[in-house]
Amino acid sequence: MNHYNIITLGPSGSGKTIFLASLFKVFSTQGQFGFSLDIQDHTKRIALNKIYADLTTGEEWPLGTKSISEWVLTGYVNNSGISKIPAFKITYVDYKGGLITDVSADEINYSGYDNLKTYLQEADAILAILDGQKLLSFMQEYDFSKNILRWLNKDLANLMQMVDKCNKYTAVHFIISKWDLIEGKYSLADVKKRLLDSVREFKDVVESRKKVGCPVRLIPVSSLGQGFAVLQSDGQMKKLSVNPHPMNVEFPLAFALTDKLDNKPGIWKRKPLKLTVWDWIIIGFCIVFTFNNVALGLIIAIVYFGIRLLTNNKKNHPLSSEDALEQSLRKCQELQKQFSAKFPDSDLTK
Amino acid sequence: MKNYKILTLGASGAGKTMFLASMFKALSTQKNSNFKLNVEDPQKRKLLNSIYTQIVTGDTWPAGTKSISEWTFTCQVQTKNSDNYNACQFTYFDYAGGRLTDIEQESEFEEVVQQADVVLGLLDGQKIYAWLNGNDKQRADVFLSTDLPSILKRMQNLKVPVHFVISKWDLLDQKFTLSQIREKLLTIPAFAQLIKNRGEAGSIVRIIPVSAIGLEFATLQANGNMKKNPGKIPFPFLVEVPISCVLPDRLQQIASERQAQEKKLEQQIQKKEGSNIVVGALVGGLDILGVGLDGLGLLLELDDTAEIKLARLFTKATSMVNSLLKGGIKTIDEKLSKASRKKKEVTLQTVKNEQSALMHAVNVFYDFEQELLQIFPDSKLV
Repeated sequence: MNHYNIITLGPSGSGKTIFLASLFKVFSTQGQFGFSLDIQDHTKRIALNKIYADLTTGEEWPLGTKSISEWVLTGYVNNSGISKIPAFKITYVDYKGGLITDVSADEINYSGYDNLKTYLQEADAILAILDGQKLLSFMQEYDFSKNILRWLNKDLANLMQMVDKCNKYTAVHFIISKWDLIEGKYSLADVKKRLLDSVREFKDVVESRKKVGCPVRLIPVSSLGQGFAVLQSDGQMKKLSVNPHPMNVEFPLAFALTDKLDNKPGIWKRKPLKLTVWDWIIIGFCIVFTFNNVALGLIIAIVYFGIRLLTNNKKNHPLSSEDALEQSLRKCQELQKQFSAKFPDSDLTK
Repeated sequence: MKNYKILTLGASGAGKTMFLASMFKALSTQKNSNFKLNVEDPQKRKLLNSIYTQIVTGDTWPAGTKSISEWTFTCQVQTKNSDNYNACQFTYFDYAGGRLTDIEQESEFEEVVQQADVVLGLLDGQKIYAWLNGNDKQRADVFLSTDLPSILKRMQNLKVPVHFVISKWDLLDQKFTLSQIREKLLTIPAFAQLIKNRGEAGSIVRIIPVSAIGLEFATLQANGNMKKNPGKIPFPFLVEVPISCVLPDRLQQIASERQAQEKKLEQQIQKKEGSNIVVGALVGGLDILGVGLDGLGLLLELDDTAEIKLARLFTKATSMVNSLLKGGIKTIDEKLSKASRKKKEVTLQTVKNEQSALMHAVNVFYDFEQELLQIFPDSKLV
């Protein structure tokens, strides 16, 4: 089964864990996306569901992630409602965002960073998270506050330096978290222009990936959706009593799955034709026929096997894992098209 | 990979680390066809980012800098295909007072002095401003009686190129010219003596103005505080120049030394013709760059004038600056800047290993050196 390593790169508070919990929630049923996600490890499934439940019910926001954790998610496709066929596996890595930005001389931090580096080297897709709340202030403020100067010079500088070190063929997407705060105030085109004009490291990294033809996009997401929380004057987010409606969280996954170079739908050949007893009988019959009438024998053979080949890939066969992956990737491509239509300015290479 | 050592001298650890943090800020990603710097140790890399943040926000100084006395930067070249090749390394040795006991410091210091390729003396721009402006006697006194003498004392017997880096140039810009500062510094006998001695020995001295925050980010107020200018994003000014001058100056120094040796030899054996200066300088240059004779071809490709190849390199490595000064900077610079952009792209295309990466980097170093001369023609004291 195809295995994907996906890692999010983001400093503390940028929304890595919330994004994971929301992604799992959105894909926990097959619904509109054509595939679903599940966690085989029972305790981890409960833990992730709990993170989401706590997020949506309690007044408080979750405390920051303490250590590096791996979440193995399996993608399933429904086989005509009878069974679920596993299509792919995703290893999603979550960690304490401070590892990216904070200086600490202790051993735990050193080894934590080394582990993170290994995950980055092995990643199939990297989702670099730009904190939407800070991005909004960056867009709004003419005279930058210390918070924004810190975000620009510490958070973004560290983030871009790490992205710059990644394998040039690894797809990198910049996710703008907390998009609900920005939506309606600024367009994605405004944000893209401001980032490219004002953050030199960001521009350099985008240019560098553009040169090798590696896809690089800005993907706005809101893990909890519009109206779930409001930004208060003190910079804190206050939850309102509204159900969460995650926004665009499916798109980063759709891009991450299809951007893996050897993973484009349609690369698999059609199913080989397995000969049945009936096929052998027809073959024998045709051979006998050709002794008497060559043309008739050939016509029967062509018509019979033509029909067999055409129907070979249809319904009656049980869905294999490869079929399920193919189906999922096709759904991802549809999602990509939807995204490109919705956000034509998302492509940073244009 | 060749490692070039830079001995940094200055009043406090903070100023030097600030300079390194802003240098890293400017060069941590590659712009256009230049080069970039990489800090292998992630903790040190993060620390430099934190220090730069501290410079622009005025936050408290991040813990853990005082114990660091060595900062190693790997100069990397990123090709059009986004492949990264290491070109060389630069290690900055920080020997601020108070870190070690005198005896320990002296012995360690001597060891570094022996290996140093360049010595960098960091002069605090704010103190120079106070001195020139005459409005802060206390600050000026610290500069004149403590900071500068201790730097000059350390530089006395050194033969390697010396770079005086004036920090916080944003404070001095448009108030004082570099010529004024240079003349004022030359009124200090110890400084004038150092320049005289080095001039006689043909040892390079540069004075390089830099600013960690750039010239537009903040303005000095009458009360001595800095006020941020709304809408401006801080970005370092000329901080890439000192590191870029390390190799060109080292190469020129080698050429001068060989020249002196040849002259001496010529006098001794009364040799009339067949001077081997060019070859001597060339071999010395290759040695410094850490490339063998197979790197010669690449080195020669750096220039595209219509002269003989050996003479091209020699001209470049030894007397480009002088010829520019003599021949009129403007016209030559115009030609050079056009040619260098083109040339940089050409040499970047040839990068396929460590050696060719170094050749490209050297090319970029020369461009930055030219940029300095263009903006501050007075920056070369010797």
